[in-house]
Amino acid sequence: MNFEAKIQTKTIKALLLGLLVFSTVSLISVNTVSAYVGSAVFLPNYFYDPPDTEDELELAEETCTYIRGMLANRYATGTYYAFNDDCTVSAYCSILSTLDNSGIIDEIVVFSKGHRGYPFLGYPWYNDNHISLLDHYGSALLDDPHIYDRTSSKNTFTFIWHCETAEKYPEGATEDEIGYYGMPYCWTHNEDLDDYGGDGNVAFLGWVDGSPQFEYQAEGMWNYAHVAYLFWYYMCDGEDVEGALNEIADVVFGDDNYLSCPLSSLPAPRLLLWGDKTMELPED
Amino acid sequence: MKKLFTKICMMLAIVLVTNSLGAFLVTYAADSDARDQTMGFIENVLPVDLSKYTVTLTKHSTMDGLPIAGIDGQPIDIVMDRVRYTLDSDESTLRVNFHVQNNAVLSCHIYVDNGQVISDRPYSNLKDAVKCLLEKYQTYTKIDSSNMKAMLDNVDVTKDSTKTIGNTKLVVSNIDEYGIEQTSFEWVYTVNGADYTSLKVSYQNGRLYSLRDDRAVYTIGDTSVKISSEQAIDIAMKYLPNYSYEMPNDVTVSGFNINEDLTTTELVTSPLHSTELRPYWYVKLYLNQTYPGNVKGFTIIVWANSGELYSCTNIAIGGAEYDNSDSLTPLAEGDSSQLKSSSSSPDMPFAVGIAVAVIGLATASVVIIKKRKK
Repeated sequence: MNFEAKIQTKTIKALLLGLLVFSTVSLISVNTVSAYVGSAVFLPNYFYDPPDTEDELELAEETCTYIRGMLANRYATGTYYAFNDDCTVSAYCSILSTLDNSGIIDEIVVFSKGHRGYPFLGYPWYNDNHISLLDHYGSALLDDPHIYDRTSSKNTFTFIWHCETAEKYPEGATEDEIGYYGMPYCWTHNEDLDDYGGDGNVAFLGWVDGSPQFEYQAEGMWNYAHVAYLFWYYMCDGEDVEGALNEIADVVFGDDNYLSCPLSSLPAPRLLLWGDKTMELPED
Repeated sequence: MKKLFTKICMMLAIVLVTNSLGAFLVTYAADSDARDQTMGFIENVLPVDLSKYTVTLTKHSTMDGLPIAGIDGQPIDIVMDRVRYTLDSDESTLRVNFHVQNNAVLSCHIYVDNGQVISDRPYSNLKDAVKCLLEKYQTYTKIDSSNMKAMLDNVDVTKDSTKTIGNTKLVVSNIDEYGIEQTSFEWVYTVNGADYTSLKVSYQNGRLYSLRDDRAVYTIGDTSVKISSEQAIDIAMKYLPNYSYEMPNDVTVSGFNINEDLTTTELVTSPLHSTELRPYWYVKLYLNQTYPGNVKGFTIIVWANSGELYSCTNIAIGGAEYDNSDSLTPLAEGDSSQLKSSSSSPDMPFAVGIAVAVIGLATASVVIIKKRKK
């Protein structure tokens, strides 16, 4: 091999070595400067004795598919989803357990859209503290034990778009004869969340009274599917909860901020945040 | 050898570019008009002492339409710039977010991330602060705001009130919730009982929190109201026998019974796929019972000048009250075998894929070079 070829070979080796070092450093900087985040999107589209119109079923699937895509782009560690007949109590429990017990995931982001039930209004006892999320077949995903036992303080960002999911807090942080109750505590395991608070790094969003169906007109040409889509769009674009809600108030409702717009005021539907309005989506 | 060298260098370049894109998936719009508009707002309107702050552009993105159609099935093709600045000083850090539409600032939100805002000057009270803001804002927008300023005289800002002079209505509203005291001032251009464009500013706990002004974003079209509220209800009621919606399994729901006592109407001008505002009746008809699909009624839009019906959509609130005590069997903890692979997929980390590609490429290149050397 002549001198020129030797120089070229050494140059290539140096380049390759540099590339390997660069790639390794890039990977370290991308994935280890912050927590590993897992996320999940649930859409039961409850089918039997159907509470949803055909338009609602299609619109909800379209919207949740976009939301799932946004979260999957953001969270390379893992974005799980269960839609339609795949969204059973079993799937909810399995995905929540997988996220909670992964051993590597530090923070969990969840969105669920559907209906709620009251699981204990009959035999063997009457209890209207507890509510459930209904799966595709109308079976009940209980606040406790189903949700509580498969979640933890790692569930830092949760949006449950089912009826009455912002209620029964903070009282639900105290067990009754069945267990803990209500969605805010059972998802977050946190008894110190302020309504529309300013710190704590935990956010739970839900509805007071009924949750609007996605097909329900919000204002002008906008419906509540747009509200859900834009919420996750703005969150994934770096806003905090307060910022995302303000942007929705501006774009959808033509109001200057969340406190001024119908989302925050009764009569229903009223969207309520328990926890930290300055919270952004966790970084993966 | 030179050809090999060139090939490897090209491959390396491609991998490096791909890797960089994967690592930094952040894009910024190139449009500078929105930045000029918003920087002008910061310099000329924002009531902070800019000599104490370092202003940095921290985000500029453009939302070009939404993938989900509007209530009428038409695509929403709204184009909106989002611009964010961070204002840093020794005493505080502020975040200022803007929406820019049609080359005009539509809205501004000011968030205090830490510390206290350093004001551009002391204000004697809230009304004084609002008047000064209006003066500066008038200079910035070149839209005469003198009547708005005058309307503030003799207004008690601690009480909710509405005051109309000519076509301008001033609405003062107070909210005390979540530990936040918010006072809002909205000047609305009103014609024939319909509200069109407006300027609204809100102060939270005494400092400017948000401003929204759609006067330069929207134009005002035909303002005539030739249809009364009663006529709009009549049009909606006559349409309803022709309306139906679909449930799963090809079930069609129609033939609705309305509880007329609950009917409401409102004359509004919220934009419908246009930047031209026109008045329409927003009629809400409520059913005498909840129909399949949790449908409790209908919202019907009727143009106020022509009586033409624009849309009819369901009022639907979720919720189901069932006793599901037969489904309460606890599941095995962490039973991931119940996951269906078709519906639950953790996405492969993109960066890991790139790393595998790079390492593979590098190894292959070294092997090739060694073979050539032999």
